[in-house]
Amino acid sequence: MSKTENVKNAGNPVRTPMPPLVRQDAQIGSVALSQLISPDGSSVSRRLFVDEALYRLEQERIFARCWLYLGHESALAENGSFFTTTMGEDPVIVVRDKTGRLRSFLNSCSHRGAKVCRADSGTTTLFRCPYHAWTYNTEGELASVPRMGPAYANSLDRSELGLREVPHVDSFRGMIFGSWGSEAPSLREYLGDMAFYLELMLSRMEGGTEAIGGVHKWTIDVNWKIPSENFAGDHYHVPSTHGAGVQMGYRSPLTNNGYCIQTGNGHSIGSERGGAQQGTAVQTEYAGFMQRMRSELVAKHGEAAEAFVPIGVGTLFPNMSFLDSARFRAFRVWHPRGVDKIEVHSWCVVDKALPPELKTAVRRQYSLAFGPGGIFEQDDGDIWQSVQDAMRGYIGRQGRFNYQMGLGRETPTAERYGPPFPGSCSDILMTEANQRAFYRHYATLMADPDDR
Amino acid sequence: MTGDPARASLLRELEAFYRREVLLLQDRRYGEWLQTMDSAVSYRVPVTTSTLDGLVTREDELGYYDEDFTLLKARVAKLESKMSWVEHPPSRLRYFVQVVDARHEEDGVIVARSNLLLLQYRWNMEQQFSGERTDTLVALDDDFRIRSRRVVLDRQAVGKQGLSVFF
Repeated sequence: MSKTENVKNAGNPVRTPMPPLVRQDAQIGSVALSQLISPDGSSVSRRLFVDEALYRLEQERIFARCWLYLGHESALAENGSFFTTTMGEDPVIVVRDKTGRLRSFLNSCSHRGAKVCRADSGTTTLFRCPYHAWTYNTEGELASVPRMGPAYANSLDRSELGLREVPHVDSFRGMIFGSWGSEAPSLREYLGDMAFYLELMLSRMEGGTEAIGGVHKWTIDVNWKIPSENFAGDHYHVPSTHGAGVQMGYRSPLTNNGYCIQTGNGHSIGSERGGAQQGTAVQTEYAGFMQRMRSELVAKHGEAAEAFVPIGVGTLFPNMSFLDSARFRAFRVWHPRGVDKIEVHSWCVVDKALPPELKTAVRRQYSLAFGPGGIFEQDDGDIWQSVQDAMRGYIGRQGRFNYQMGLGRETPTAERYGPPFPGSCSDILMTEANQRAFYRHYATLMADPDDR
Repeated sequence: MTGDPARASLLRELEAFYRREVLLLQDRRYGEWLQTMDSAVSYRVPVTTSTLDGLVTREDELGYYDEDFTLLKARVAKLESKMSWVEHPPSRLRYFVQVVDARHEEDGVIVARSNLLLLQYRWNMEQQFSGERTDTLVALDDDFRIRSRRVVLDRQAVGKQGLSVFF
């Protein structure tokens, strides 16, 4: 199926890189796709958020295939540095091995499956399983087994019994990703045209970026797709959900001046002109810094490029989101923990070359707005939980969610902002084009292999 | 310690101070609660990280709260908005501040530690927090102001969405 489709625009057919239309004759397991997602993605069955069988298939067809964000290179400063996270529900260790290479392993002993690492982060040369003391090095090799002679008659082939390794680990401008997919494209291909925008976000200053101050972790009782699609392109929720943040001046009232851009592979960004979180309360020097970065980008790409500092709120399919705002930049992953629960891991990411006191101020701004008790985060989480709670019953899980907003307004981004800017966008900020793109891409990955 | 009337008197005064604070927090009278803070306050609830050596906190790391007076005031303004959904309807809160111990420091301030237990009942969930509080207090004529507060929670991650309580 073609990766593009014709969209009417002022009478002229133009090609925008939306993901393929949802095939109504395909299946996801025992369910017809026609019962789940409309062809253009503008209506989505509530079953997608509550169905255990679909959730199991997501673990296989999305989380065991896609490139998933693991963490930031700055968290692995030296050889032997490691942190633990999950890919979908699979626990993994991410480590810089003794040669400096980034690697990732299933955090499960090859003997009887216990976790060989119990810490969030640290530095080590060995991972020793507490169950029977099988011990692995940072290359994942089974380095030692107790009682090799008396118990195994020295006949155990240790070379066959290393930790299961994530076959693809790569990084892009400091962001480490991994994929279990046997036929995974390269990370650069997977990011596709979104790499252009990530580059804008991550290469503002010489030296790149770093995640500062560790990780915020908390749980929300909601299906992982609700926050992923929210960060992909839900600006419409800001005036109501975040009305309190507007009233107290952290953020100015939302205008409809901005873009929602999707790049055809489930990845999206969106931003109000000048960036989210512009407001008068509790200001820092970051605004001045961003203004300088804006001038530099305009000098490079012309006047239209002014809109892309910061690049905005976005989602890298499936479950990595970021918030590059006028006040701070945050990365987060929505780790699925069952069909109705996520564990959020969230970081504050700054340009390394920022002065230390500004880094601290930015870290506090991030925490104030989008930490676990953030004045924006707390209302998102509370409302998302109620979305899930309302779908527990027999009736509540029937019917569909609506994603019609801004239907048919997409044009190639380059037509509005000039040639270097890829993807498609619409002429207003408030559209659900990015959510439609998210679910259309989702449908392509989830459809049974014979139907793809 | 019973033989030290000055110390016994300090603990009595501190307990009276915490009693008033608990009642303000339980009633969510946050504007008045802010008045218990010194304008140079540092209010920190650091995240805890699990390492091979156990749970640790670090001063330069992220906090659940990492506030000065201005940021605390911003949080209070947000919670007092009619559109602060996380507290609509408001939680019922029950604070217990116990095992208060205190000492005078050389520069005239008082360092007090206490156990904190907080039970929260919100319309859609309930949770509890326990932790250790360390306050640095400035003594006024017949009152105290909080110069710094550091609360280390016993839990490793916040268990529920929408952290909307002060510690």
